[in-house]
Amino acid sequence: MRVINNTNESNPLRRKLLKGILGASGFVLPGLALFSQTLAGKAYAATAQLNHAWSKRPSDAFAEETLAPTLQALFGEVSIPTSEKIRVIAAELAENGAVVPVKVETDFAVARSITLLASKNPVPLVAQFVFSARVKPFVATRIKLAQSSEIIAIVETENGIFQSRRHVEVTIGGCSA
Amino acid sequence: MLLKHPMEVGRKLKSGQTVPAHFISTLTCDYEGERVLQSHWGAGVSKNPYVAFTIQNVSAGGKLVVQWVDNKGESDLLELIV
Repeated sequence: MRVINNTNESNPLRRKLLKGILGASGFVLPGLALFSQTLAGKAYAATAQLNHAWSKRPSDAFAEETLAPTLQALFGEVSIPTSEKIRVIAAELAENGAVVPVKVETDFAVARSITLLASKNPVPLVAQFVFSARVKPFVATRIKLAQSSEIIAIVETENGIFQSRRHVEVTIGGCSA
Repeated sequence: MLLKHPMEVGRKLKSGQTVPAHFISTLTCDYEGERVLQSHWGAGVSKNPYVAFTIQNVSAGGKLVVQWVDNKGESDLLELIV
């Protein structure tokens, strides 16, 4: 994989940012994988029933400061069942709350979105990832945790909304980073 | 992928100075002109964000375009060949 085109070379800010990105580590898509034709075909059939309209930024949810109203702003007045098909993978003990690696794996063939929340952060909503049928319901990233709390992953599937939680102990909070 | 960005939550320093929030709010990825991922972030994503996801059924030579916009309106675009 290589970067082919630095568009808009004349913009110095952009060039600086691009340089920064490349300088940080190169550019890697670790999860990029080719799947068998059969699996992909199945995934497309199932997703036809999902509404894949691209979502607007959930600004209301980002404005909430506690978990319950955040969930209500995102998904409405529904109880979200726990599913064993979702695994939130994170270390039990995070020494540095500013950088907590989190991975969400699911056994669903397709999903519309994965939403990541941290139950005791000043803004509980961390990120929402919305996928096309081409993208496997999986995401890995690094988040901030203000204090020991639960990392919650919520997955929207064609059969409803499900969640999974993982408690993480934080030694030094991530608010200052 | 790894991006370089401060992802500042916004806070008040002991000196009384305030540091304004500065974080990537939207990141998208297109494969061959087709949107495959759209993500909305808050300042809760760590500094110099790392994101990994899996795009299925891609062909060698296919073009990926990754774009982000932050809360100050700054943005960037990267093109990659699979």
